[in-house]
Amino acid sequence: MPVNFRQRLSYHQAKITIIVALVLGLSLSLVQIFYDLAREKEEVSTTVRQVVEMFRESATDAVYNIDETEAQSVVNGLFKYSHILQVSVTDEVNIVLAHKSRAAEEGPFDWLAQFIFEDQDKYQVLLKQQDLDKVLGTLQITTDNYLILQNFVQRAGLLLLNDLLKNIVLSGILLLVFYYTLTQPLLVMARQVAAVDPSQPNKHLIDIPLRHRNNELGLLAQMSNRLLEGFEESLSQRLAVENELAKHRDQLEQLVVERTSELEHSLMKVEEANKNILDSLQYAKIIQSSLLPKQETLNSQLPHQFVIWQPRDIVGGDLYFMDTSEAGTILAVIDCTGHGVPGAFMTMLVVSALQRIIHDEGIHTPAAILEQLNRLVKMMLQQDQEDTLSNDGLDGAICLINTEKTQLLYAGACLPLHYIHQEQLHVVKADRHSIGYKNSKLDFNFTNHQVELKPGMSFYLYSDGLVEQLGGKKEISLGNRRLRSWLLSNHELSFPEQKKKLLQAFNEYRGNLDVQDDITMLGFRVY
Amino acid sequence: MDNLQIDATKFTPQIFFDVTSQVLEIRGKSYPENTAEFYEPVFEWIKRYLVEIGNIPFTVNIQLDYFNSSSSKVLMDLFDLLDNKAREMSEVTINWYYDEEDDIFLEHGEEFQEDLDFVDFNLIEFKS
Repeated sequence: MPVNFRQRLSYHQAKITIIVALVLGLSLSLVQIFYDLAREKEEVSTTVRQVVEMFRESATDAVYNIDETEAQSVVNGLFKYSHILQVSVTDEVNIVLAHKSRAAEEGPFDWLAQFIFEDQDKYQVLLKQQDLDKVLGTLQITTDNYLILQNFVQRAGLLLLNDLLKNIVLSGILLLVFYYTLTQPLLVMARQVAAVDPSQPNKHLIDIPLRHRNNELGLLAQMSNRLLEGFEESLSQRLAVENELAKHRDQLEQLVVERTSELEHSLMKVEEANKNILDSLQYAKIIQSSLLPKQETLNSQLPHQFVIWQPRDIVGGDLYFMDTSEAGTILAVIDCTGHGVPGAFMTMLVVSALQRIIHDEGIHTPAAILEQLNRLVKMMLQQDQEDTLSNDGLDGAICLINTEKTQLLYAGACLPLHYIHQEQLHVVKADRHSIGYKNSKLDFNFTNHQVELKPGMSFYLYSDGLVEQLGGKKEISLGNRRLRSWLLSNHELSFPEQKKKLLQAFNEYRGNLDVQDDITMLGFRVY
Repeated sequence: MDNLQIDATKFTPQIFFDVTSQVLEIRGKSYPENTAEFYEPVFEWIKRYLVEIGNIPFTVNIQLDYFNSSSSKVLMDLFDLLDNKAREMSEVTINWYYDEEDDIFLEHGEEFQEDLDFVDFNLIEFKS
C-alpha cells in the first residue's frame, strides 16, 4: 500500500508551508526593496540639492560677471558628481555661459527604470543676487536615475536569492520533519489496520506510535483500538446469540420431530380405532338390515310402495316394519330416540317386542299394539323403577290393512298418517304420547283411526328426521307444509319415481348442511 | 346466585341465565349425543334457583333452530318443572320464538302450549 510521494501528507504539508513562506517572504522583500528605493531616491535628491547649493554662489557670480570661465569651473565642479548627466549655466536672456554633458548609463534594466520611475530628473535653480530680487540666470542640472536602479537591482537580487535559498532549505527540512512525524507513523498505522482480522478484531491491536502517545496520532490509535475492542465485543455477543438461537432451533426441530412422530402415532391409532368402529358399524348394519322386511316381500304384498331408510350414522334408531297374517298386513314406521348405536339397540328391542306382540300374543289392531309395546318397552328397560338409567323410548305409526283390502286402521304415537285422496291431503293426527320413557303412562290408551280404502289413495308414514331437516336460505326446518305440498304435486307418479324425486328435493333443500337425524319414509297405495 | 352461562357448540345451544333480570335464554341447536348428560347441570341449577327465588316473576326465552326428540323430552321436563312452579306461586312466562316459515317449530310450540296449564306460554313469530 505505498503512497505516491506527491500524494503524501508530508509533501502536501511542506508544499503548502513553502508556498505560504515564499509568498509572504517575497511580499515583505518587495516592500523592503521599494522602501529602500524610495529612500535611495530621496538621498540622491538631497545630495544633488546640497551639491547644487555648494555651487550656487559661484554660479551666481559667474552669471553676474558674465564670466564664462568661472561658469565653466562651476560646471566642471558639479560634473564630478557621477549622478549628474548634464549641467548648463545660462544668463538672464538664456545665453549659455557654460555647458557640459555625458551620455546616460545604459544597461539591461532600462525598461525597469522606465517602468518604476522617470529615467532622468531635471533640476533648475534660479540664480539671484542676495540683496536683489532680480533673476540673473539659471543653473540647469539633469541627473541619471539608472545608477540608483542599478544599486536597487543588485540589492533586490540578493534579497530574493536569499529568500529562495532559505525556502529551499526550509522545504527540505519540513519535508523530512513532516515525513517522520506524520507520514511514517500514519503509514505504520495503516499497515496495522490492514492487518486486522475481521473475525478477531482485537487480536492485533494498533501500536500507539512512540512519541505520539499524547497527540492526535496517539488519540487516533487509541480510538481505533477502542473501536476494534467494541467490534470484538459485539461480534462475540452476536456469536453468543447466534449459538443460542441455533441451539433453540435445534431443540425446536427436535421437538417438532418428536411431536410429529407422536401425532403420527396418535393419528395411526385414531385411524385404526375409527376403522374398527366403522367395520363394527358396517357389520352391525348387516344385522340391523336383516331385521327389516325384504324388498321382495314388500313388493309381493304391496306392489305400489317405496321405502326410504337412511340411518344418519350407518346404523340408526329408525325402523320400518311389515307383517302379514290372517288379520291383514301390518305396516309400521318407528322412530326410536337417539341414533347410531343406541338407536340401533332400541330398534332390536322394538322388533323383538313387535314380533312377540303380533305372533305370540296375537294382537293385531294398531292401538293395541302400541299400548302393549309401551308396556313391554317400559318393562324391558325397567323404566318402572325409580333408579333406572334409561329414559328412552320411541315414536311410531302403525297401520293395519285388512285382508279384504277395504279398510285401513291407523294408530300413532307422535307420528301422524298422511294420505291423499282425490287431490286432497288428509292428515290423521297421532296421539301425543310417546312409547317408553320414564314419564309416559303405562296404561295410556292409543286411538285407532279408520280409513275406508278407495282406489288411488296414497299413504305416507315418515319419521320426523325428514321434516325437521335444516336447509334452505334461512337454514330452518324443511317443515310439514313444504313436504305436504310436495306430496300433493307428486303423488300421481310411480312410487319409485316419487322416491327418487323426493330424495332429490330433500338433498337440494339440505344443501351443504349435515343430515341431522335418521330418515325413514314409507309410501304406498293399496290399489 | 351467579349467572348461568353455557356457550353454544355445533350440537348444543347457548344457555344463559341472567339472575338480575330473571331471564333464561336458550338459543341455537340442540342434538347432543348424550342429551341427559348435557342438560343435567342446567336442571340442577334451575331447580336450586327456583327454590331460592320464591315468588319473583320469571321468564324463559327459547329460540332454537333445531332439536332432536330427546331434547324435546328434556324441554318438556323443563316446562313441567316451570308449570309446577307457576302453579305454586310464581308468575312464569315462556316465550317460544319461531320463524314465520317454520311450521315444525310452530307445531312444537303449540304442542307444548297445549300440555302446560299454569305458565304463560307465548308463541312469538319472527321474520328473518
